[in-house]
Amino acid sequence: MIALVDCNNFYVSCERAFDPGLRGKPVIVLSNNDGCAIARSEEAKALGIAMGTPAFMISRLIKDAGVVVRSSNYALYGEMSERVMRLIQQASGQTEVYSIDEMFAVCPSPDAAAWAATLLKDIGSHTGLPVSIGLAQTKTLAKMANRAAKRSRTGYALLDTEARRHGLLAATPVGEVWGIGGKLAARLQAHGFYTAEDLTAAPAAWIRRQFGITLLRTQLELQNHPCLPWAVKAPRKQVCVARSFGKPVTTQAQMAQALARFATACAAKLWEDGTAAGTVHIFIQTNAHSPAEPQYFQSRTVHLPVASQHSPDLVKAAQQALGAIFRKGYQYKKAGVVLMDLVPAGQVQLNLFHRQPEDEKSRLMEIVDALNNRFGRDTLKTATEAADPVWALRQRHRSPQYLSNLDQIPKAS
Amino acid sequence: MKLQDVETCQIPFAGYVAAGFPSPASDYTEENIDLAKELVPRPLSTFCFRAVNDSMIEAHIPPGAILVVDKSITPRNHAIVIASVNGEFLVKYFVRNREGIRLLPANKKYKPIPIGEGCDFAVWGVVTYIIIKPG
Repeated sequence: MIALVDCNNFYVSCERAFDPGLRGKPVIVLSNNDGCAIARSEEAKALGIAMGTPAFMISRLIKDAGVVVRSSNYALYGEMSERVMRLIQQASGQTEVYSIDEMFAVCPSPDAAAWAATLLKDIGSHTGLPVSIGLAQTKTLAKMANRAAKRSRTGYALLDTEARRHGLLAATPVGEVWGIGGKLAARLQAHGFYTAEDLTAAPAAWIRRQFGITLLRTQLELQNHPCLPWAVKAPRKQVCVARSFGKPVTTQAQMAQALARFATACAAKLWEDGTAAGTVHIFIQTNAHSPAEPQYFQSRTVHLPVASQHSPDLVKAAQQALGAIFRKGYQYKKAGVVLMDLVPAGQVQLNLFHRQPEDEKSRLMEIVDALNNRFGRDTLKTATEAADPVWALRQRHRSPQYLSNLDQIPKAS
Repeated sequence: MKLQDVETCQIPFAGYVAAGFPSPASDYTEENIDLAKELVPRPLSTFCFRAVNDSMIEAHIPPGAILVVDKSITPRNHAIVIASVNGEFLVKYFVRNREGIRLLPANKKYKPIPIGEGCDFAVWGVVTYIIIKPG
């Protein structure tokens, strides 16, 4: 059987694992720059806080109901996610990461219920995170079973009999089926298909003609015929690092710093993938949500003479592009760096006129990496990146770096 | 023999050869100690905590010590554990007898903590190593 394992209220659960005082309380985790609620505890959901609600819109409710607010702590969530994924992998056959807190896994045991109960218990005892597990013959049904698991007493749900499968299909509106969004659901409802069970009864040829092969695959999956492939990790086609600024940026020097930081973060991803970028694209923009302010949105693309994965090259290209489009007098709210034309680093074609030996640069980047790994992420930066930037992310409520900084590990008295 | 054959010819490798003579140790070498592996045999369930006071000083835990904690182990009686009590983390001996559970300090200046029914209490993990820097 195929299982979909996912963590309940993942970001909130990670915060609670290292701050047990948050249990039982309404807790929300905010997106970058303390923007919107991207995770809510059950208590916060009960207060009516919807997913994606901007924090400023519920400031009164937060104060009156004592909602605990946390800024997103991605270093923490990333590490906890890694641990959960590895625990699932150790217990399963083939696996596929679906998101930061969800994984598809093939159950290797004929007793799926016992396997699920054990895995649930092990993830809980190893990490303190609560998970739900849905099992079925297809990925689409496993996802549906996972939703049912969240409402169950045991934390897992099996669609191992026809009775159970039909029962759940009849109780699931089409809009809640994996792969069917709002618009498609509306079209299906207009044709009289309200539940997933209705959809399975539709003629396959008609589905294929009206809605395409993707919905046909979904229908087949709902009918217990697996036809979705297991994803193999495809190499990235582009890398993008873009951020909104905590405070508006007004000078070219500040913008150059920000772009240097983004370009360096992009370089790290290239390094990880073993690729080099042939094109650097940057964009800068004012706050689209403040139409009263003068608006400016510009972008620029620079082609590198030789594809590169070295921060100094990418930073230089970004500065060059910035010089061409920066205009004084605007309050810039967001900027980004996009790297394109990615090629495997070993296949970079040297430009006839390009003189710097690639070996020297690789050695330099190795040393930078090693020092940053040992002493912390930003120990060595290219000269343009500043120490305390004015545009840094606003994260007023972020929990300590419990897992990545020895000065911030949890305290016990 | 063609030139190609010479280049791909396999030469049997007879062990580490130091300048001059074959090492008498070569048949007996073992892997070096991997401290990380010794201290953290189960990395997926291991976390670090910091002791902040002297309540466990007689258990060799001074303030500032790093505690290596394994969340997946069930504590034996009298194990040193990290416990959460009323939302705070404590490091204490976990003691269970017929009367119930108590958390005991290792310092006469501190009082034992009885854990009653309905108390907000949980064992978070078991302390497996204490790391102290001398001086």
